[in-house]
Amino acid sequence: MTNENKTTLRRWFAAGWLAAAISCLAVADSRCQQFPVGGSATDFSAVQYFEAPHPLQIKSRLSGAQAQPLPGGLLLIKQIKLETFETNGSPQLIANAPECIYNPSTGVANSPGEVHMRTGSGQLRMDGQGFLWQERESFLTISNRIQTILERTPIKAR
Amino acid sequence: MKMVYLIILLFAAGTAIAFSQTNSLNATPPATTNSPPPATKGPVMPATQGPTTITAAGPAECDLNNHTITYCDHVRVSDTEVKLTCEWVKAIFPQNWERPTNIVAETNVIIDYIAQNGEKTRATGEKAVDIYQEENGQTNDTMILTGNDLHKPRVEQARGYFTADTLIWDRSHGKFRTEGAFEGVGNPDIAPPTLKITHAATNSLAAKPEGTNATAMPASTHLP
Repeated sequence: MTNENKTTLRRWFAAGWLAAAISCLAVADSRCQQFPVGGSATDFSAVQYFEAPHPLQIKSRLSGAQAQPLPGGLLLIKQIKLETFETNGSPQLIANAPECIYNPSTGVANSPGEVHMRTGSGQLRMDGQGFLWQERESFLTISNRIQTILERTPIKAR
Repeated sequence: MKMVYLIILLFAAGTAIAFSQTNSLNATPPATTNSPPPATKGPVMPATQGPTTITAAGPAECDLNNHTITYCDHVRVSDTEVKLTCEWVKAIFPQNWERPTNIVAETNVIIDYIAQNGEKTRATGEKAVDIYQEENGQTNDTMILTGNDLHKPRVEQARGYFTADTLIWDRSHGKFRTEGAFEGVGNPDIAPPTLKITHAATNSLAAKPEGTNATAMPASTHLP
């Protein structure tokens, strides 16, 4: 490879990284108008707060080990963890999935893959295939092959 | 989960029907009654082991604001003793998401129970509702099985069956009653020996259509 080709390649890489960075910033900026999005590409977190009279309490948090920008302002989040809370801060629901596509502007996340959920008390566990999370409505839909286990006694949440 | 108890109740109620025929010593063939039974003491609740499993083809919708989970399409609720199938189940949870306060099962509700002696009981209806409340240290738990004009709630065993407009079980107080039109058919010869009827008097308030082979229902029954 000639020096000229190397230089051209470097320019393309730089342009690609720049585009990705701008995209991330644009997404983050749009989300900041509704709720903060923190972390980097390897530590994603999107938090929604309760409205008054509990504006300081976290209502839901969608976090992931990795976030990758997609066309249309979407994010591919990997190793996601969805947590929801009551107004007193107690955990309400914890869901895990290998990955999902998250739309920061609408607060909607979805995935065709498997999802595992449990309530904060640990008494209810649910597994399924595919999900849709609508954070503004606090509504989680698990699409197919639902299996729920209801324990008869409370289990301490893990 | 609580459907377990409903079916136990219905089992005892079905047994009560069969025993009610003992008023007629010659009731070898199945007899029919149109007299609704008064409040009947319910069965002893079994100590169900293990968790309850709910499966569905999906979707399942978790409404976190209203603390409900709705299951759709080929829903099956099962534990070690009972299997319930229907097309739609909604479970309403308290704030802490522990024991559901209401469970509603709708559309082609089928509850299958197999007793320890292997006897099978099937209850069917269009809607089953379980209501559980704790108030001032007291527990109120009521289960209601209803149907419609075409499909009344029905409890069926090998020995007979009965139907009514509504089947209500007050689990907290161990009482069972029916509402509306009642019809039952049973054979007393195969009633299990574990059920002891203390009052087998005819419910005088119940209307008996003329020309029918109506017999008395037990005023109350007691399980050992």
